[in-house]
Amino acid sequence: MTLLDVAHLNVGYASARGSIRAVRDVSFSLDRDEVLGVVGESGSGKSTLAHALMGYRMRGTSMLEGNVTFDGIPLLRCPAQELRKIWGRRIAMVHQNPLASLTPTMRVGEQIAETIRQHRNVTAAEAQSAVAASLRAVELPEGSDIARRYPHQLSGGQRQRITIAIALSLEPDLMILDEPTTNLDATTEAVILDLLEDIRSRIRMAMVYISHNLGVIARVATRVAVMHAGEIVETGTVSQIFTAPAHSYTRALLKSLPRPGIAKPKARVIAGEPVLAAASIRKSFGRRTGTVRAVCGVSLQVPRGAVVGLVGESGSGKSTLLRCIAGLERPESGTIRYLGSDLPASVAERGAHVLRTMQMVFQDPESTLNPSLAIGTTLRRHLIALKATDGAAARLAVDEALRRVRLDPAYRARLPRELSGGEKQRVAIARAFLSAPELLLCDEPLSSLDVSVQAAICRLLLDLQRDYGTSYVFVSHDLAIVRYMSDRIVVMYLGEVVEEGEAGSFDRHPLHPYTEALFSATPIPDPAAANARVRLKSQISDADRERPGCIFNARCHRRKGAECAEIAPPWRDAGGRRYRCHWPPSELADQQGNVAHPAARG
Amino acid sequence: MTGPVASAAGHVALDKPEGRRWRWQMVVPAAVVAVYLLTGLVGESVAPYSATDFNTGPPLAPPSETHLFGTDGFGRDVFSRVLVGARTILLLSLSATLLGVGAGCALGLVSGYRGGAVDETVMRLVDVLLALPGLLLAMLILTSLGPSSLNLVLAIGFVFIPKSARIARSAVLPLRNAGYVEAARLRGAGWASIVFAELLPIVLPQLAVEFCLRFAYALLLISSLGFLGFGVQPPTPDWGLMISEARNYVTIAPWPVLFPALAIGLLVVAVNALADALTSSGERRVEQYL
Amino acid sequence: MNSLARFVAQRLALLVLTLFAVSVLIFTITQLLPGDVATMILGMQATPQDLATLRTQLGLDQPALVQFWRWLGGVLHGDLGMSTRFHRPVVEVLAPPLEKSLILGLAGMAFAVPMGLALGLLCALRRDSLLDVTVSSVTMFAAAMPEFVTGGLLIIVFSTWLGWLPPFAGTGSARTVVQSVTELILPVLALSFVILAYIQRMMRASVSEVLDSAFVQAALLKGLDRRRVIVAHVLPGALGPTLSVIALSIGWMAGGLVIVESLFGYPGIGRMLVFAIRNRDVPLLQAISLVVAAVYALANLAADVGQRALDPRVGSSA
Repeated sequence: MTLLDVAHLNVGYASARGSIRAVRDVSFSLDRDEVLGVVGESGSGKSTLAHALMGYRMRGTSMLEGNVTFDGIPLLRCPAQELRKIWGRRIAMVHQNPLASLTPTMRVGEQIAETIRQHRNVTAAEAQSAVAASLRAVELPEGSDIARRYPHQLSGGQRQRITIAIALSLEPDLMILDEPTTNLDATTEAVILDLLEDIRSRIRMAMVYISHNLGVIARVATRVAVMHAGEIVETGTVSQIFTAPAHSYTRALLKSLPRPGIAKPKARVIAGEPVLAAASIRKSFGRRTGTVRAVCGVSLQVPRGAVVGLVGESGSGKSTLLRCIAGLERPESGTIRYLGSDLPASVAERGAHVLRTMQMVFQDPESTLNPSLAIGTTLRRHLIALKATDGAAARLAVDEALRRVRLDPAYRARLPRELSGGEKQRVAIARAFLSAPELLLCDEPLSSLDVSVQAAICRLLLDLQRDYGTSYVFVSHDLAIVRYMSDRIVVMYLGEVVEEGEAGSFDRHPLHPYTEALFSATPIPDPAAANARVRLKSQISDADRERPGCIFNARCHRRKGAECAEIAPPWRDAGGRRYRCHWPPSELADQQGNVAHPAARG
Repeated sequence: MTGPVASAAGHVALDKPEGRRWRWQMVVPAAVVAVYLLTGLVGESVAPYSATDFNTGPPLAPPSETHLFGTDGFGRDVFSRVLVGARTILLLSLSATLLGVGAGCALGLVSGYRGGAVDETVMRLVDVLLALPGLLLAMLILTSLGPSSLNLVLAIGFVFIPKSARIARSAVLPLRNAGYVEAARLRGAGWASIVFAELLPIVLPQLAVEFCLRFAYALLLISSLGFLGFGVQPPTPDWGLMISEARNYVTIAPWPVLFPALAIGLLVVAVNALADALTSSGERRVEQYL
Repeated sequence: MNSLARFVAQRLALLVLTLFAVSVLIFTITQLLPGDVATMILGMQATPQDLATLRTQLGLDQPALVQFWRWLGGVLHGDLGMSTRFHRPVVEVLAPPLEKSLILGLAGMAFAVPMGLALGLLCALRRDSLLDVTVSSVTMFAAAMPEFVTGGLLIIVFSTWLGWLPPFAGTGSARTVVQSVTELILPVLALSFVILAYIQRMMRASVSEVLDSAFVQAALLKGLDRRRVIVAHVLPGALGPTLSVIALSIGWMAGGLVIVESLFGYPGIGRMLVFAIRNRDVPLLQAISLVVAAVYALANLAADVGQRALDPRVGSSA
């Protein structure tokens, strides 16, 4: 039975440059029990679509045409009072970025209660118990004072549960979710997705789930609509889309994802002295709550010509470690040997040779280039500083550098704001390679890019690595990318290394329980893959850093016994890999072998 | 009604593009300021009478054909005095603003970028200087130094340094850890090169707005000091001084107060409007909606 | 609450230090004042011996540091010295004008704050409407112009042309209450226009910013009615920065008082300051400067504390 019917929806905005059509002639329908997954990258118009589906006009809208019929009610022609009765009660929205969509000055419990009070005639006590019921429904611990807290006092996962609780509180017919797990760690995301599945099994509800992540869509949706530049280019069931995509854009999207089991061609790793050897790096930050030990006694080796992937979630210390190597942060203790000599801790103390041979690519393409300078000027300054070239030679070098990253040399006259995110990142890579570095430090260079662009930049980085023989330290939270790109993988958790080894061996099976959970949490864009359900209970907490024993003890699902909480686990070798655990490799493999791994199938 | 609260009404309340209106907000005040600058340049030659001669006409004569703005208590032509007064106030205000904002911004930029002990000390000093209202500080400085034009420029310039330093510092603070700054550090750039070659071009628009605002404040301060008798000394015509001199007979002869007041008011409003137009000259970003 | 109390204590300590530094500043500047104080008191006919005796009496022959210490000690005991013009303790001289200025200042705030907040909220809710454009233009005018221009124009309109209100205030003989109030109207308007304008603009800007935010949008999409959204979601966030502006305007008023009181001949502390400077009455001058600085600093402190108390995010362990 059709719940939602959208016909020829068009939404446009007025800007100084004329009107922009964010949603073009979109039509689809949704039944009472369906989950429609809308896949689109940034700029595809999906957020505008999400709001238009509720009949909501965002600020700046200059055109809104078409029909959105919800259970027979034409939402776009509804008077305000009628719309208000529908919003929150029959259609509810879960917003992107809960930190921004929860009112910062109001306690979260009250934010749930007011929705209930608005739509139902309840007493204060009834409202209270309804709030408690909502919190239970999203698996937030009862009896705790969570309801009395402010949004900024909760973790990302808790905040997202609150927004879901608000949306659920009146058991709506339709729930619209706009990228609900985008800002969360992989392990938290997995748990939230489990929660949504669980809710759907209990309450009969239709969902429109918007995401750029194909893996998530594969898990959650029954039908998929692919959105590009405001249009829906293809719709179909999940298996149709993933196995037999019809539209070229859909095909390109699917092709650009690294899948487990597919690895890049091997790099030419040179044996001998490693390019970089960091030993026992320690770095802490002072916070109001006390000092946080961001990096705690980490050692890292980078073989010549290899790509070392550093993976971990937020708080793992991977970025801090990278910045210590770069000299942008000063470690409290530890030494680094680079190209055979000791490396000064601060970048200001390093000589020209070191600067030339060690460069970095940063995460945010928006702030990686000076917005007031033309691309050519930025590159020229870099050249002058590192290679003392100027004049005609510099101009040639700049053009050459742009061509190297597959950009037209004419780009040298453009300003950063005229470039897309992917193009800006290419310029950043061009800048890094101006001096043909020996070591390139990459701090999440793909994380802020669209999926289709990620693939291209990934390939570019690998091609350059092969051509120049540069060693990379590649930091990312995205396990799939790290597995694809790296020769060696280092897994970090709360400031410590928990496992490291040859990348290929990880594909067969992860060993350390945390690595295992991380692998299992990564959503795979293959609806046929059964995801091994390893879920971490409880939240990640800075306090765990200070406790004795294993750093992962508080959340470990394979806790051995009392020793995990008291004694620091020893390093164990397992054929090309090392990890820290109280379980020896044979016993771990046995326990994990019983759980199906998607990688094991591929 | 517009805006998200209004949009919920579901009726046609759609927004129009802003481009055209913004241009007017910029052009009109700029034109007004240009007229004043022109007056400052040619005022003296164009004025019908000398600005300092007594008894060019009967005292307190109302506006007429011979005396466009009337005469004051000493028979001086108000129109001529207003014209000539433009040069003094503009010259002094501009010099003081250039001095104060220039020095203050340089200080704030360096302090904000370097951080640490340098930043702390500078900011404490700035706090102390900001503990007194600008007018009071200027009055105190002027009475110690003596009321000459140069001292006026120095005093007001000095008053401006702390505020401009604060603004420049807060403009540069969010940029300290930007990617391009770190890339510059990784190529061996020192703090001076980063502050003046990388960061200054970016914050220049904000500093330009600050310059306009300080300029408006300088006009205000100079005329207020003139009004209180601490500013430009007679016989040089000063709009503020003209108002205080004529204040006591405002009920019988308002014009020696009215016209200088309008002259100040119009100029100051125009400069503020210009500053406003400069701040909002960014385009509304629609991309956030997609 | 504990962290708030600690914050206040820290800031108070900082305030005391700042005031100390300010007093050094004031003292240094005023000691550089030209003109021999002794000569000014005794006149040009005084004999050198009399001058010398007076100088010793006033401690003018001591090194600067000692003079400063004595002065500071006096201040801390509530003794602000002797006015060289009035030959009476400064504390006595200052009391009546201080009271008068307080009346003017409080009246000004009582007018400016509610009006400013209300107009700011209204304009933000009806952004870009005729009301908004008109009010914004008027406040821009008001905020830009010096108080003596605003005041002067008000006098011309309401005294000279319309004859409704008197052009001077607070001088001389006994008046009825109605008279006192009527003659306060123009000075209060002149003083508070600027402050009203600042408050209105700040309120409008912060309400507009909050209205555009994602959480207000989310609140609307929960089906909440407009009034609830404005009162419970918009105002708490928007009030914070505006409260800062309100607290700061107390400080700005100090500068405005000098001009408005001079313009209207109102015998308040501002007019007394000009008098003190003109007559080189150094103790009086120092005392008034210190009072003004203290009020200003307290206003800044109130602004910081208010902002922190209102916004739960500021200063917590997030």
